[in-house]
Amino acid sequence: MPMLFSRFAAALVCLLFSSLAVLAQNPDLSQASLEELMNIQVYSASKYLQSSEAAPSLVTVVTADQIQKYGYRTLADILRSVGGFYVTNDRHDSSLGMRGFGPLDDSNARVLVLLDGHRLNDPIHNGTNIGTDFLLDVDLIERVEIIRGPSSSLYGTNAFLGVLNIITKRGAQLQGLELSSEAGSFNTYKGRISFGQQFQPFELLLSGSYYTSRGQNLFFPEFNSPVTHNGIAVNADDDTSRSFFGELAFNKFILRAGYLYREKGDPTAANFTVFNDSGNRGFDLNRTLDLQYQNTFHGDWDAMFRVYHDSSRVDNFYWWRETDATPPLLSYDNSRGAWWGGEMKVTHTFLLNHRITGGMEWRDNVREDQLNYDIAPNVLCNDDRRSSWLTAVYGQDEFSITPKLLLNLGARFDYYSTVGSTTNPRLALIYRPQEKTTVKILYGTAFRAPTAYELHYRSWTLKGNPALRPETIRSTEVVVERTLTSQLRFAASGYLNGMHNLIGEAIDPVDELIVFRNNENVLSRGLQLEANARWPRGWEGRASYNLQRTTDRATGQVLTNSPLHLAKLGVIVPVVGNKLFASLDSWYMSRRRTLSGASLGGFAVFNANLLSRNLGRHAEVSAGLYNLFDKNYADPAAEEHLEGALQQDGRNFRVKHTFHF
Amino acid sequence: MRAISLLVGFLALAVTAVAQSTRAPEYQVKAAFLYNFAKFVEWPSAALESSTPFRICVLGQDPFGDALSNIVQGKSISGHSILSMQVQSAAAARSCHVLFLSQSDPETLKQGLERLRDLPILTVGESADFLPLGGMINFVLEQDRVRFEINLAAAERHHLKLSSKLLAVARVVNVGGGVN
Repeated sequence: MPMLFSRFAAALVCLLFSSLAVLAQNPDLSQASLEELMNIQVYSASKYLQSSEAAPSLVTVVTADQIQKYGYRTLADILRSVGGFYVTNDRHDSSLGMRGFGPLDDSNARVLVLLDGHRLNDPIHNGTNIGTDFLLDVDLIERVEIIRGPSSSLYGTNAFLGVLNIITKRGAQLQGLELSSEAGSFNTYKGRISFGQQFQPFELLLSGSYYTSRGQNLFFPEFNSPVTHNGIAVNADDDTSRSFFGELAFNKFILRAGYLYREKGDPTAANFTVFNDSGNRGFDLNRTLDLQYQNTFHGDWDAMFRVYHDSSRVDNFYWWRETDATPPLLSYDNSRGAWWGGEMKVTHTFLLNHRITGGMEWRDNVREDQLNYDIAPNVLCNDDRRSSWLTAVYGQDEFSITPKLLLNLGARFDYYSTVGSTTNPRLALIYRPQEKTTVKILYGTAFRAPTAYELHYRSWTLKGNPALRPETIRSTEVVVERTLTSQLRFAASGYLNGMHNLIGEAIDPVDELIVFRNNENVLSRGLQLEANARWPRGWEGRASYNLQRTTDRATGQVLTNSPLHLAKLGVIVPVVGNKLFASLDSWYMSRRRTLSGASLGGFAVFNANLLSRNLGRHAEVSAGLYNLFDKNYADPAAEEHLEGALQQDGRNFRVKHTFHF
Repeated sequence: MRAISLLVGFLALAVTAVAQSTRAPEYQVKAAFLYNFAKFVEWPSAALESSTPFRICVLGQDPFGDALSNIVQGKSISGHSILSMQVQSAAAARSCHVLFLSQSDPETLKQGLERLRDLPILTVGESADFLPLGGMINFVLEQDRVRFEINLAAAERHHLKLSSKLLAVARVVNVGGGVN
């Protein structure tokens, strides 16, 4: 393997050097005069651009415009509207499910989240928060690209079910100061101040947000007893976060910095803590710093380099009792991660029809520390300090066999200091028999490496397993996309996913602790239909439907939190020219099984939003009603909850006002 | 052995790179043209206030990918920073200075161009009926090279002044259909 690795690396260095040689010889295309431009022989690059039609995947894009018009408040809101996705909330985190696979406690580790190409999944839990605890204020999102299917051949671990690439706004798009304030049900308030400007040759974006919600006094029937306050948790659902994002661009360099601090009370008494105690709470801190260089050199050489440093910290406080009669004890659980790394990628077209990408990546997880102890009396349970590293090389060839037939071949080799190596290929055949129809046949494998948490965590009830191996997925998919008119697009997809050695929980008979094992094999089959329409004067609509069956291979039983049917519908209507827009956004989910085997009924939720733009001088007002018909519904709860299901929010509102100077 | 294969690989790459130095993807070249057009067209001063950025917009499907933003990044037009952006409707394109209308059906093109009639916006397209529908500059491909046609009457109607340098390398077309 080292032999193969060094050869890959050498080939890459070769590519980089030759790209630099080209840079030295040729001027920038943007410096070329009219006459020079007229002498350049061009070739159609449209098939090389990752437009959704040439992408080796079924891709959905959600834009800033849609985020405003539909009144999405969080990344979770955005994803709820996307075909094939669903979100499960346990009043602390939002967990993402996709195409019938919705594990309840995986911290979204099976979806890779990229912020302008920078990986946000952390090495300790491998997760990304997508609710009010997401690193970026949704107002700063320019667009979200949702790439379905395994993409480990380019991105490595976590690109298991799909990839979300979040593209941020640029300073020049703001051109000044923006103030935004919002208020909503449950004493929820949010404020944001952003500034963006271009000062040649610099471009700057700075933004800070503050969010606070008192939350609700919630009733949990499982705790309906006089000893536990008749099942009512008072003042225990609060949620506060502050975040900062900055971006400085200089020539082809972009420096990005992000910060998030969030505090959330847990009203559900998860982890068998004392019910109705506002001392049960979690704190999250995430920081990211990323320097990227990207350039297209004359002769069509694309190069990207990136270095970054990230850190994460999670603190949880749990009040618990040994018996109902004893006084409560306080436990503390902490994890701290710090990692830095780099990536480089070069793309060039050889022999007219081979678009070749080569890249390498390394990441040093300098800190993966986990600590767990009782504060009073002080008893240490776990103090695990470690570090790990990984390195990877990848390559991809987009081979245009004929103008109508594109073959996309890629593979990536990853080496982990913890679990060794894994190689993941992807193969896509994209056929465009006519201009308006695209057929894609996709095959690929992906993996997720076990996390520091799964390998080395320890508490009084649960322990890690250093012998874990990466879990894998093997996916086959056929996609047909058809553009009926320029306003109307259809897509249909059939998929078959085999997931192997999924990391799940089991009881160790020796010490009766819960332990992680590669013990689940899952088979998922499904069908997805999608339609998108956009008419002149601002009318817009989208609809999607998923039929899917996801079963455990050992028992043949449908997984928990896996709906058979999933449907989405969204419409935007311009009410007054380009000044007032109304939207209706809805999603339906069929029944789901909880961990105890009970069945939660299917439900449909409707959200409505009004957005008024171009009011006076650059003011914008938005008012939204969420769960319009006050539908009573619940999400399945994970192992750490005594509740089998957790009630979700009823009808609630938000009003928002943005002013641009 | 490995050293030799590396060397061969390196040379092969270097040769390919040099051989291809006068070739580029179509939309990277077209993006560079859009930036160049902006340099050779004069906008009425009311259309370009001193503190505003110069906007190059794309209406409809965006064929450029990152090419356009890469070209204009860090550049300026007579002291104005350049902003490249995608717009969703003709109404949203009213504040643009250069507007590229990607290939779409004639009906959509016609509606878009009609809504922007008389506004100081340089409209650029790439379809056979773009100029007859009232567009100003139209890209055509000739022997794999990018050429462009100009509709002077449309430019006058939009109050834009095209420099002689631009007209010298373009093909000037009368809206009636004849070629000068």
